[in-house]
Amino acid sequence: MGPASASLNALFDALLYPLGGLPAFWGLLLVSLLSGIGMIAVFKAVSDQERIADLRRRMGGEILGILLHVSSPGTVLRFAGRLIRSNTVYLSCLLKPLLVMALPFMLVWGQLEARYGAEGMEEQVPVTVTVQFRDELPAREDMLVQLTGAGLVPPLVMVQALDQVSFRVVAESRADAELLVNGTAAGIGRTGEWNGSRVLRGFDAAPSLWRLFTPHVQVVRRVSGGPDSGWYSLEGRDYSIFGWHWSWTAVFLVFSMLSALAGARFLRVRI
Amino acid sequence: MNRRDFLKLAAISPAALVALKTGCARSTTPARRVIVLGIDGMDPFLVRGFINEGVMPNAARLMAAGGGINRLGTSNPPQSPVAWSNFITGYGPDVHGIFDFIHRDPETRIPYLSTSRVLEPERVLSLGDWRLPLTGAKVELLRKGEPFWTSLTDQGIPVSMIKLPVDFPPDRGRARILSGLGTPDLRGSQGSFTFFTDDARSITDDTSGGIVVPVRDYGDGCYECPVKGPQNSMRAGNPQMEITARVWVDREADALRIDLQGESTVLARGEWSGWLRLAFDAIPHISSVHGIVRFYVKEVSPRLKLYMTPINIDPLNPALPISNPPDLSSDLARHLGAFYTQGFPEDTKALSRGILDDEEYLQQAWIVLEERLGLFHNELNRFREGLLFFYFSSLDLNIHMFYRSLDPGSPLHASTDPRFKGAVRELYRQMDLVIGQALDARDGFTEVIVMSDHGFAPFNRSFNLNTWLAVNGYACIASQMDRERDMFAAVDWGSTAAYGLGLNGLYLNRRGREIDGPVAPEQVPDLLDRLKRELESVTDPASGRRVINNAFITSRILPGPLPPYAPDMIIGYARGYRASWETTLGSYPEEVLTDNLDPWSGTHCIDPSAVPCTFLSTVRPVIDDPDLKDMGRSIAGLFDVPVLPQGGRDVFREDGS
Repeated sequence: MGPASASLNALFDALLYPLGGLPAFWGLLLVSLLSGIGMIAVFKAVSDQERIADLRRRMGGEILGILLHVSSPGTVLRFAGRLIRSNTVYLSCLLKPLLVMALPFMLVWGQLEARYGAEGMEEQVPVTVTVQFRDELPAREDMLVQLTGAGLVPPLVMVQALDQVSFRVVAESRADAELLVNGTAAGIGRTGEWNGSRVLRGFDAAPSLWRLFTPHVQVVRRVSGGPDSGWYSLEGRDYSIFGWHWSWTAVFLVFSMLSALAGARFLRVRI
Repeated sequence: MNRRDFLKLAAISPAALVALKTGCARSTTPARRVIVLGIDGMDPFLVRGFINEGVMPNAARLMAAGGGINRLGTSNPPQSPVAWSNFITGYGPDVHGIFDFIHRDPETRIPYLSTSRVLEPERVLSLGDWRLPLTGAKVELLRKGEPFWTSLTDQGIPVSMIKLPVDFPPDRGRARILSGLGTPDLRGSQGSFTFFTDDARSITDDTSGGIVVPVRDYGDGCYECPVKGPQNSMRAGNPQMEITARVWVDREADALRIDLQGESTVLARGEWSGWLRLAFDAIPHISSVHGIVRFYVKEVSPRLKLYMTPINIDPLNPALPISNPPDLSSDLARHLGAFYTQGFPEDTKALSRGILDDEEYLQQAWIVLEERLGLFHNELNRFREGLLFFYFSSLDLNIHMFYRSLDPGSPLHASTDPRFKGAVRELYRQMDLVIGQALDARDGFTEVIVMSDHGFAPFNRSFNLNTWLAVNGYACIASQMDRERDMFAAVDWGSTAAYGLGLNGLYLNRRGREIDGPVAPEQVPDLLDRLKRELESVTDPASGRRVINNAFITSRILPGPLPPYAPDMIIGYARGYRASWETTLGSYPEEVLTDNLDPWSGTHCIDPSAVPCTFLSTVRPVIDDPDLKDMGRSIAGLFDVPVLPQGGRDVFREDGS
């Protein structure tokens, strides 16, 4: 899983790096607009446009039939039945492009969540780190926590019942920090100085396929005696648009949808 | 326009635009700025003393600019809600309707907060256990009268009133307002802490100021701590909403981890957490109420002692209106971080009840002050024009708690830790720094005013007004066993002529106004005269001193028509005395006068002439007896606007007009 995950991250790093000099909001906005156009282009390529146009015409006719025969319940019911059937066929026509787009969409979603969904470490603001051990916790004197680029704020709280250890770290600067817990190395916070770089909010030494969709969790090498996973309490990020505060998901959904609609009109795509 | 004019205009316009854009343009009438620091409880006698000691050099600068420390008449009674309402409206309680911190329903005598109330939705759709409001619930400000700044905003003067007292919910005009004193916590109280512990000695039924929640470790080092939120008005019976904090203790490390709604926080013993956000689901996934809390770890081992602040309304997502415009609080929170939104942020009750000790209380008070200073700096930096009023609560609440450190006459003076005997001086020094920052922000068009709402006096002896009334035959105790219970549980109302409630209020038990009230209207004047005479002659057997300077008959000092909830008398205690806490809640202890052994050792709820306000200004006042009621008009008068607020006088003009 590690190489696949790393390749995917490298690909998105390369794609988004040119936007890294822009403020995060503008980067996200451009990505959202491009994603909308991309989605509509894929939709056009893989959908049966003629059939969709035909079905839409037919459904229009059936709605008109209902409106024209409101005084005749039998006719209305007949048209309604046809409308439901046409609708079902229409939805089945959409299924193929949706299935084709699902995987890339989930990958893009995960990457954007990792890159635009959270703030990195703020200078002098403590972040709580919790690490999970698979079996029982090591003895306190055997716990070795080292940090690069950040400082450890004692104490280490050992939660025996959950096999977890929690502690606080404070960044020395806004740059990325490295954590080493009993031999397991993981990053915390931003992986690069540029906007759009990943913000690491945890690590996993026993990853599953799911980790391809959660790039904010770093896939790390498992070390004997080291923790299995960990997570950090980093603040979510919001974006100010005309005094309103939006989450990255709201920015992405609204602007990708707007650009998809505009793209559909421009590229004459039937949706 | 000919070609030459056009070319001239074209040459000038870009320069004008640039000037406007960079803020260099100056209108023909220069914008005047007025900075008003409302420092609750700043005492003119202490200010003079600290200036003389060199603790307040900036106040001395201001004093030199404005002709000394002026004493400002306070309200009667000199309680903050009354006093700030006088300031806001320019009128007394007969107009703004605030007579005390608490009023009572005249019929049932049930007390309620005087400044605001929540109105339930008028129409509700019941679906099984659910109650879906069809009209909105409302919070109503009970203070009446027009605020003085309305005349300023109507004339185009920008106004910012930050942490403004007695304005919750905030006035929906054109002023920027962040509500201060009077803003409740999320549970609707004026601040109710929670203390989680497994120490049996700390567990009591006392709910004043907060609750102690017994918790238990079942051997896995985990305490399940129920965090009780506000009532859920969308469920039948309005049950309290609740979430659970899991607290994992590590006794060896003397630390713990708090898991709360998916977030973990690590704290060692003696540490305060930052603000943690909570969400209580009124309707799961549809409607939630947001709050913020801080935790303090008093002890981990051998017993868990974990303090949680009152649940403050989250300024990022306020459940109740706390600012105008509504997004002001969230903008401030995004810029500066979360902050205390409750009106009484310093947790004096936790100190009074021994949940926090002096040191811990001062740490909490310092957190409040730092937040407030952050807000102040932010406002000062963005202030370009108009009126900026900024309110500080720190002096008032902390001097209430630490007057004992100043006053050798306090029963607690000797037992107060010497480390904290400089607490009051340090607070005044901090306020002086604030004054200095305001003075440094001055230019040729800026005036600075520092004012308080009352001064301060020691509170060494408690007067049980209700007990005195019972001893002197004005109240009849029906049940001796219930004397100590609140809300007049011991009283036979049919034979009781008068009762005390609140800090200064005395009420007659009038026929036709109170249920079972025996006092006929024709008996009222004589009864009031007799009470006044007898109350003013009460002396303290321990010292022979008079306990009450003035017992004011309300209808004689306030000329306007009085509402039925107004007290019939306002008791003006002598310096050193105040109504006991038992009096404020309607109980009847055995003794009439007792030593005050509560850390709440300073007061201002006494005779108003004994606790005047502080008034320092860069403009020299020319009226000899300025009063709080004059300040709104005087501030407005500094702006050269044609229309001034109606209430009060202009203290900066000879004729007061």
